[in-house]
This record gives sequence, C-alpha cells and structure tokens, in this order.
Amino acid sequence: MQTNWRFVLPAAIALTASTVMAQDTQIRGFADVTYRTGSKGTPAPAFGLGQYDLFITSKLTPQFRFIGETVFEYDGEGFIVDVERVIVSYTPREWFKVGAGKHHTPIGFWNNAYHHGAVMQPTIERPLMFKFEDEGGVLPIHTVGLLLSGNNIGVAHLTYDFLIGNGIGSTPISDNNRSNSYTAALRSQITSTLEVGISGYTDRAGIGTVNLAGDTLALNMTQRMFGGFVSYLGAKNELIAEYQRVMNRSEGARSHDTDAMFIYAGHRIGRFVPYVRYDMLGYQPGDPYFAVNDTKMALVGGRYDFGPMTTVKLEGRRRDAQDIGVTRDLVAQVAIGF
Amino acid sequence: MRMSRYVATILAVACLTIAARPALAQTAVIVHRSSAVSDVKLDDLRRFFLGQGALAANGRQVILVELSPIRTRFYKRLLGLSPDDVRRRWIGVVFRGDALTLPFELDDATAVKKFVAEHPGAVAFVEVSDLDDTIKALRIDGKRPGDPLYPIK
Repeated sequence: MQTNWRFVLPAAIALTASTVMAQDTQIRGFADVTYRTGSKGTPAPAFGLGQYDLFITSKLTPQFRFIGETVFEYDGEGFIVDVERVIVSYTPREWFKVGAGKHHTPIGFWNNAYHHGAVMQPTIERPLMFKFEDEGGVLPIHTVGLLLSGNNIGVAHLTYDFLIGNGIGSTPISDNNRSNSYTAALRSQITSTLEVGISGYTDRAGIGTVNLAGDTLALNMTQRMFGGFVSYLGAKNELIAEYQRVMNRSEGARSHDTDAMFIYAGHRIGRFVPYVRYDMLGYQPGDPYFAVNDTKMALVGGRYDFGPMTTVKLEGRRRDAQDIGVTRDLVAQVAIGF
Repeated sequence: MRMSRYVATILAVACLTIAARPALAQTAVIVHRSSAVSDVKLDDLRRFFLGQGALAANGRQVILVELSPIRTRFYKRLLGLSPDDVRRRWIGVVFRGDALTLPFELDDATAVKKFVAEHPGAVAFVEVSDLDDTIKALRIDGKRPGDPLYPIK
C-alpha cells in the first residue's frame, strides 16, 4: 500500500508543532505607587510611580526553563525599558542547575530573595547596600554570565552558587576588559525558618572604566568583597541581617575598604507587620571607585497585607548622610502583584 | 447498679469519642502509590510546603496540590502560616526561578486523590477520613496518620 504523504506530512508537522508549543508559560507583573513627604533637604512631597515589572517564566522542556524580567521605570527624563533578568537554565537535578544570561548576583540574602517587585519585599525600598546600580548602589546587583547552582543538598540543606560573568564597566553584550567577575556563595537552610550564608566576589576594572563618582579610573583596579547573612522568617517574627565588606584597590596602592550592612526585624500580628530597619554604609576617603558618602538610616514602619500580592506600607525614616546631613521623611506605598 | 451501668456507658461513649476525634481531625499528606518516599521528617515536610525543595530526586518538578476546604487548617498546623503567607512565599520561590508553578487548588478530596493517583510527581493533603488505597499516605517522623502522636493534628 502506498503512503499518501500529502496527508501524513502536514499531520506530522501539526503534531510536532503542537508538542513544541505545549510549553507552560506564565506572565506575572508587579507595580507600586508611593507618596513621599519629608523635611528640609528632601524633595518636595509627591506621588511616585515605582518600577512596573513584567515577569515571565516558561517551562520549555522538562529540564529547560526561561525567566525574563523587564522593568519599565522613569529615569528622570522619560520612561525607559530595563531588561533586568533574562535566564535560560538547564535543571536536570535540584542539586545541579546551569543558567546563562543576566542574573541577580548571588550576594547575600536580599538580592537572592527579593528582586524588582516591591510587594515581595518586607520594606518599601531595598536596603542602602542593595540599591540598584543605576541608583548608585555599591554592590554588583546584576551580572551577565554563567551560573552553576544547586539547592537543598545534604543534611545541612546547602545551596551553592558560582557565577562567572562580565564585570565592572561591562554591558549586557560586551565586556570592557579580559577579566571576568567571579561570585561564589554558600547558604544553609538550617531549619525551614532559619537560613545563613556567606559569599565572596572578585573582579578587575580596567583603566578608563567609569566609576560611581562619574570619573574614569586612571589605574587598573581590583574589587573584592566578602560577607554573610542570617535570616529568620518565622510565622510571627522576622529577622534579616547582612554585612558585606568591599575592598577596592588600585594598582600599586592600598586597599580602600567599605563596610555595608543592614538589620531588619518585624513581628506579625494577623495581617499587620510592624517593623524596623537600620542601614549603614561606611566608606574610606579616597576610594577609587565609590562616591564616598557615609550614610546611616533608621526606619520604623508597618505593612498591612490585604492578600498575598496586595500590601500597603508606611515608614518614617531618619537618614544621616555625609553630603546633606540629617533628613527625615515619611513614605507610604501600595504595592501589588498579578 | 442501673445508675452505675448507665454512667459506665456514658463514660465509655465519651472515651471512644475523644479517642476518635484526633484521628478525624488529622490531615494526611498523600503521594502517588509508586512514590519511593514513605516517611518524611516534619521539618523536611515544612521545607517542602514552603517551596524550599521543589524537585524530586529524579529531577521531576513536584506538583503541589491544595485541598481548599482544609487549606487554612493544614497550613496553620504545619507552618503556623496563613494560606496567603504560604502563597506569597511560593511566589517568591517562582520569582527566584527555583520553581515554575505555584501550588494549585482543588475543591474536594475525590478530585485531589484522583489527581495524585494520575500524577507520580504530585503531593497533596486530605483528611485522614478520606484516605483509600488509590494513593499513599506518608508517615511523618515515623508516625502514621491516625496515630495519637502524628504531628499534624
């Protein structure tokens, strides 16, 4: 019997196409609106749009996955599109995953746990030490590169991350020197509520790299950092404490060390969580890369969770910064996810 | 004599009722009958329901199914959290890329058991009174559902 390929071939193509298209793609989004009013030295009272974050996940095959996170935000001159994460990962086992793309650098707890959706994080804004790069943040929040990681390993329930990527001064498509950045992190989920971790980072920035003060480096510079965290997220009580020391060293010169830390504590009473947080950034004068501006901030606030993705927060803050002295402000935020 | 027999009967009925009540109020965690897992530690179970361990040993994504009518009680007893808190934590897990999907809900135990029986990677919870031989109930810290020392009451 002859096979009638006029019917078989289109059917085969249709079947293959439907199989390929049978991916589990989910789109989520996050947004927030704030109102801010403050003392002399702070901007005029105003409402503000936060980051409008679109988050896409897709199961491409049983082991291949995609994550994309794109933020629409106002940069002072207009709305811009910022691609924050694009990751294709291969996950054959829970203890071994390979991801290529733009990641949140696995430094500390906050940068792993909370990304760009304000509703997910316990306070209105990120700690000073974890501000994004385009906000003058001191840590490399994002890295384009290759990440090896694994979760829930052994009796200590370890998680490891090793990331090699484009470093300081690079772009999402190119590196400005032949040195890669390296990040290594190790965490232990000691109990279901208690986690501790340590991390280390190293990179070299070449002559001509623009630093955070807006100047260009006259010498090659090595940046190293190490730190740790403890987080307790129980049913009633929450505690997160993190520390990083950043060591910037120009060629032939001594190291300039920056200490960055915060501690957060909250207590849940039904849907309401009152909380406090203390932040500190301490620089050394003459740092070749950072804009030196010692800052301490204390805030007291509360959040009310109307649902898993709907929360209202209110904070009073006192900031003492080297450049402008003491300022106080009151900030309210409604943050949602969908 | 008649009074003491009457009192004894009342006491016996009361004792049986009290003895039976913990078993009826218990929640069992169920998996596919072919699952290699039969006994879990309580803290490992808590980790799992918080999304801290999302993959099975064979690399498959584990599917978590919630029975809506008892979800609140189950999470309160196991984790001390509300369903909203659990959902928020799971969204965070998905957000980090450690899981692809959130737990999903079904409204009755029959549907839950049918799903688990048909999906080897599924994990769910039902009332102990709904257990049958289509699925397997996990022991927790060595205790079977119905045991007075079973941790999830």
